[in-house]
Amino acid sequence: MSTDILLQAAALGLMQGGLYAIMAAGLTVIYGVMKVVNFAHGEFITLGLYLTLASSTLGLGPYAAAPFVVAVVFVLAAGFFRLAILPALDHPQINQMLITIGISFMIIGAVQIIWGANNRVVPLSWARDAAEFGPVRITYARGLAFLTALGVAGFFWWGLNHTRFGIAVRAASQAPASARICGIDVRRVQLITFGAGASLAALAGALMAPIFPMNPTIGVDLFLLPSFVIVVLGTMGNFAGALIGGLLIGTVEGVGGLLLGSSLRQLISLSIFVVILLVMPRGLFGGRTK
Amino acid sequence: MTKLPSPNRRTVLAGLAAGVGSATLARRPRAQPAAVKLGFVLPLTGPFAEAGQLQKEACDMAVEDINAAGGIQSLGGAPIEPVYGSYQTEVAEANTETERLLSEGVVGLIGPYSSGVAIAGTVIAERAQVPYLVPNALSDEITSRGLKFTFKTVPHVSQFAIDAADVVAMLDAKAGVSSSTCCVIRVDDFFGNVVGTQFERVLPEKGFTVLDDVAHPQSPTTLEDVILRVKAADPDVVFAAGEPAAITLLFQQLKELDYWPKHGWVGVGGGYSNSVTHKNLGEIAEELVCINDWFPGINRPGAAELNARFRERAGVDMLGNANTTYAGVWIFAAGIEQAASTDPTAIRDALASLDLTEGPAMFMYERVAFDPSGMMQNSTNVAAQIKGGTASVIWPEGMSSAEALWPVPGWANRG
Repeated sequence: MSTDILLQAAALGLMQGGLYAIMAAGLTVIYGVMKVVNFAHGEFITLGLYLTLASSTLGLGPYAAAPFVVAVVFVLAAGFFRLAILPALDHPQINQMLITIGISFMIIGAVQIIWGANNRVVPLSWARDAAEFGPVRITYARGLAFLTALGVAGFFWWGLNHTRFGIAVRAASQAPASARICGIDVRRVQLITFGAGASLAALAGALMAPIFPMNPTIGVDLFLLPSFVIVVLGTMGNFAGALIGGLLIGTVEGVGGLLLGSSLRQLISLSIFVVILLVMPRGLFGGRTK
Repeated sequence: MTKLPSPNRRTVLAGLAAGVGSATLARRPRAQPAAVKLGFVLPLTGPFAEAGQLQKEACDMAVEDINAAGGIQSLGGAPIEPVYGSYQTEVAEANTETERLLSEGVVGLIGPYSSGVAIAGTVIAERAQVPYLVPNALSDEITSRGLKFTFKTVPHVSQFAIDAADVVAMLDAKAGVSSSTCCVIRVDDFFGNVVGTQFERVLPEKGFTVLDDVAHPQSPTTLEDVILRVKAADPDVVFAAGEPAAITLLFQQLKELDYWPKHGWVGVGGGYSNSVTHKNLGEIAEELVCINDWFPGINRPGAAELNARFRERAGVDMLGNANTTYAGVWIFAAGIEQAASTDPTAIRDALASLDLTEGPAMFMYERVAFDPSGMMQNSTNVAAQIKGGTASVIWPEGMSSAEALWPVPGWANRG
């Protein structure tokens, strides 16, 4: 196997990792703030894909449509949270999990009714055009998806650490009772955070739309498990951990698929996952605290 | 003068009842024969749904056509009632649906999409003594186990391997080139493993060196690793079999990585012949060589008209698995007609002795007859090349409707 091909595989894996990172970041921020394990997360990716397809049929390009797609999913997710998840927040976690599974089925069903079960693609004339960096060839669409994903994730990370709302989010996450005493509207923070987490998933979907054929079960079939692996690997609730975990898993899978075969591409990444959890049970950034 | 008795409540009610009863009897239509329930096991959701939905469209169209033509004449014009069972990819899920359809009293089963599901489902049908007609799944094994209630109308996958090598030999001879190395790309499931086994057995016998046999997951997040492995092997030809979702992603990424084998790409089976896949891929699918048992351009009676009707209904050509499924429903109906019974065993016996040389199924076949294993005796393959979004027949020569382009140039050198 030539070095050129290995480099190409690693670069493509890194690109995929950028998308994984933004998916996992959305999932981990929801868990971090309200301890909800969101099994409907994959379907928010699906909604991002299909709303981009709908925008495309209305003549709006996928990248121009992305802000609208994200806004629509934010409102939808906030609605789901307010109506279905918030009433169950004080109940056992299994209730919330089952509710999110129900939301997942509802979204899959709705997508299939509206857009059908066939695979669909979003047309983009330059979706296959690429830039070459020595032996590495990266399409503009993939590069743009990678940079946008990292840029938005970086902006979220900065916002969490340097804005008043970010401080409120962290307070609601770490000590909700104290946050309430300090006058923080924890329910409002949770609602916005759930919408924002789902929006990150939808953004990943919108960015993937020109480069990935879609079907109604794509979210749960392809992206839910990697997102959970990355979230746990990067420590549940740790935003930066999800970003780094995403890039790591993407790159390792890219090279692993080349060396071991596509069917075994997850073998290396899941092996690393198991080893890290054996050594660091709380993930890469969980520290030593119980 | 005789005074008529004044009617009391009882006589009024009795009179009304008699009147209504006689009116009902007078208006009662001739008894409709009970509908014949026919079960279909198809992947209507999930990653194979693209194929499954087209199959369902074909089933619905065939049932409507049969019923519009008067239903099953030997059963007094009984209409066929389709009952659907849906699965995604899992054999266990399909088995549950098969059992459900059997419990609902279907007289026979048609389907599924994939070989693994067919292998398991036909055993369930055998146990229930209900005939199962398989018009899509390719595995040789489906009819090689001595099952008496299994009938298969599509060529075996081993035949696909033989024909794929013969097609390339024909294209090579015409173009004055020689293809001696190849890679096989296939999905990592039961069907894909059968394809891998048969291609690895047949291709060396046909003079090919198989440089790599690359399997990929049923639902891949990317196929770039597959493409890079094949690129590293640098074969003359790629032989492939797969499902619509993965094929779409594979071809998109082939173009993204600017990779194309030296001479061309030959895909076999319904996935590669699926017209929705061709439509989704647009110009990326151009010059792909695909091998299946029928294409709309074929010179068979009624083929063009049937395809036009299907196209009007489904928006795409009757390709992939839709054609075999449509024909399969008519063949099964012919079995019921000949049996003149809804007893599954009688229908099985009728199917086994069927010998048709005319009728709607002739848009695909010269003759419909099964050998003792339940395999259709006259199922053959045709090769087509995608040109202008349409599958144009290029092999066998007597049926060809277009000149093949071979070797197929890389992405940068296409018109």
